[in-house]
Amino acid sequence: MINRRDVLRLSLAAMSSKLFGRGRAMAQSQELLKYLCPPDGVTPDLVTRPSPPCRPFVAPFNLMPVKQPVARLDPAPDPRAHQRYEEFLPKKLYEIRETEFRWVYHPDAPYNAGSWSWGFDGMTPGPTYHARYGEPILVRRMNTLPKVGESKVTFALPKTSIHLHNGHTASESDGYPMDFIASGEYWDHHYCNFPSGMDDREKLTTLWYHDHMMDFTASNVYAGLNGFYLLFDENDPGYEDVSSDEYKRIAAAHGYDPAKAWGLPSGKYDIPMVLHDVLFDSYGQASFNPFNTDGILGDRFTVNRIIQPRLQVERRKYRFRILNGGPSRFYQLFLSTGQPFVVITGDGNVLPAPAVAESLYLSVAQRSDVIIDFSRYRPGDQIILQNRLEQTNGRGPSGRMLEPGDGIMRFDVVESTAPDKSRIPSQLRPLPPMPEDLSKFKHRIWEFDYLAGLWTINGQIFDHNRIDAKIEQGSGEVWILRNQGKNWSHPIHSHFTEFLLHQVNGRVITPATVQSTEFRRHYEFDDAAATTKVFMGGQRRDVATLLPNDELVVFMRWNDFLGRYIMHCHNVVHEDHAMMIRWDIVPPEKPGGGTKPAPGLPSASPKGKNPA
Amino acid sequence: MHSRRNLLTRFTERTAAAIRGVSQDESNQAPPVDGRNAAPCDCSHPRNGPYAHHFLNVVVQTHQGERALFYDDLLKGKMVMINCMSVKDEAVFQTTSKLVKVQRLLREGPGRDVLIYSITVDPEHDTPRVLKAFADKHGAGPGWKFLTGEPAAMQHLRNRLFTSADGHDHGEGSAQDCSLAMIRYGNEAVGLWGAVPARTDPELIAMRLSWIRSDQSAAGTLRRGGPPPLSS
Ligand SMILES: [Cu+2]
Repeated sequence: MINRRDVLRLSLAAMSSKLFGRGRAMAQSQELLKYLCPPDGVTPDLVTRPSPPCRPFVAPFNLMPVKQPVARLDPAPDPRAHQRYEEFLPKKLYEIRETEFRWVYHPDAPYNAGSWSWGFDGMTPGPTYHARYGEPILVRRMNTLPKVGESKVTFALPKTSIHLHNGHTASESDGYPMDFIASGEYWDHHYCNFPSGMDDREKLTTLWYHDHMMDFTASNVYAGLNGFYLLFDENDPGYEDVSSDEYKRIAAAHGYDPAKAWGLPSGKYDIPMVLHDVLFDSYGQASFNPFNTDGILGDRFTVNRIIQPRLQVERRKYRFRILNGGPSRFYQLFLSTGQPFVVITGDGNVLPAPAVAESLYLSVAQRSDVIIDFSRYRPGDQIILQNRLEQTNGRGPSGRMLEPGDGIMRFDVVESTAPDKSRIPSQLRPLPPMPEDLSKFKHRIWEFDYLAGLWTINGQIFDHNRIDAKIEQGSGEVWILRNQGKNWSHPIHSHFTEFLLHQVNGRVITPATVQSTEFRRHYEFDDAAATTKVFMGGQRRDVATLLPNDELVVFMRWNDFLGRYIMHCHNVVHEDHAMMIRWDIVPPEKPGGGTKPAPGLPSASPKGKNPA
Repeated sequence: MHSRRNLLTRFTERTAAAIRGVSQDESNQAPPVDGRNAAPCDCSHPRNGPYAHHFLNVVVQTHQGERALFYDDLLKGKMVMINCMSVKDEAVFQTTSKLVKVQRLLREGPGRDVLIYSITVDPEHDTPRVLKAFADKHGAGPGWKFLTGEPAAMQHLRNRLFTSADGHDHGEGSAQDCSLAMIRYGNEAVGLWGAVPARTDPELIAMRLSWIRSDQSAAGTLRRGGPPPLSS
């Protein structure tokens, strides 16, 4: 059924495409913003209270420092508090403070006065962790945020539970929403840094950490509580000149075979960048609308919490680890010169082979590591990273494209200082295989919907004491993720283990499948395309982007730990309005014992789309 | 759409002026309003408060027959819980009985100052008299106000609480589409707001009010928050 809003949208879209040429799409999208946003009669904040203007591409790029370990923690960590602690004794210890500070998003007034923010060690994003497979660490996170009423950031709650997104982490270190600490408390997070099931194909690269506080994830992350956590290993050691004597010494120290190193752009040529869209008040203070349950949009695009920065790049290859930090906006990123990206990871998962993509589609929390080779440019050339995906409300992209799009940041090319020793191998890392017969595995259906102001999963809202799925340790299951909404999108994230995509809307996905044709509101795929139009993740990922009416079938395995975890929508506004389930890893039943389905699950697919 | 907003604007101007005892000519100096394209009309006196910009200062009536300005009189500087309800919809979402339990818990603890506002989404039916009978039947305690008023004013509040009649394309009636399943909780002295599903246990709802309470206690030495020792 087409309702009044759809009619309005269609007629406006038709009208505006007649009235304006492609070049007018920006103004047009501003005009349409007034009409397309819910609820009826409410003009979105970014139209009624837009951020103060500021100049694009003048603020210098912010590169976060690498977090350094400490010699010891006082008091010492409690081994009784952690699963498998003695087996994975921390080789490095870290302590970090959650703090409040003024953060200068841009040098122009009023932004130059700073926006009260939260972060780690006085910065947002927080420092970047450089971790290695085979090297367990422990991070002591100390909540030293001001208390309610004293804090200058007023919209966020100074209670925190920091989650390592993608981490194969024991439950007690995973940042469960109710495992929070108040101001004046600390929590020890033990990261074992081994791949699931000790299978090297399960290794990950670009992870990030962010707050996961019950009811307040959106506001607390928006306030600044996030940062990067990068995992290195023998293939991806964080060094590019891998035939040098220097690297041979480093490899020996880590027990690596130097011949196995890929030699990807590394060191200062390996740059993490998190995108956030932020709305500021007239004083340049980041503002937050806690009453908006659809999702929050900002009108200032930030990279590492700087508005539209510029980065000087040498004429050589760079690795950029691009993360959509939310809270609610989706991006489709292009380079202004039309140069494609060489994509090497999707959501922290290394692809079997690099893919060449004209654009990157990132729903909330999605990541992609890409190589951009600037050697084709001349010094003085400027390349703009653009977002062309239109989004007029918090529910998801509108389905229209912006031309030329919003400038996210600018690369300013300078001459290189030394020869580029980095390489892009033609083959990277094979994915864990999909089992041949999925019918042998337990199937569960999860339906994502809306009810009476809340975002629901199987008609339920999150209850941290209710176990929605009991999963036997060591088992694999097939999950069917179904979006019941025809007008909204949900980037679905499950903790602890990765999704292996089996089907998207009936289309079988293989390790070689890449999304190819131009993206609107549906997934479209091609096998082994030379250049894909859009990259939105490989077969293995940790965010399953459910666009309107989508159904995804994924396979997962749960190894190594026990305890409670969550799956939730990573539009964090939806998450805070209860679009989250609790699943527990439980000890395996004795043979022949059998397991009962968890309560609250539909016994059969109401739409008959269940492939099981 | 235009007519509804214009109606609302005239309504708030007139009533706000009437309440402050000024003539309509004096107060009616806002530029002409063109439907939804207009900036929100702040029709009463200048206000401040963290989310004063978010709510029009519409006049509401309580189940006890009082008239109040929604922001100035009910929200500004206060600890509150807000839910949307109607006497008819209560058959589907029984939030009121849950809130009775929450209020009892809050009044036994340090939450005596927490005010509860239950905003009707059915003002035609839910008159102050109907709401009074409903409140009495449920045993709503002091500090709990059931709010009704002109339909345009109530629609504004619903919109500002991000609930809307067809906003999510269900079209299955008000029970589906307004936020009857959610309770907002806020400390508007600070500007800190959260939301909790109404189905949550009363103890866990009451706990949320303690999270957002202003806290002047002195900072002690850093202490361990977790994780606790595993039970083997
Ligand atoms: Cu969602």
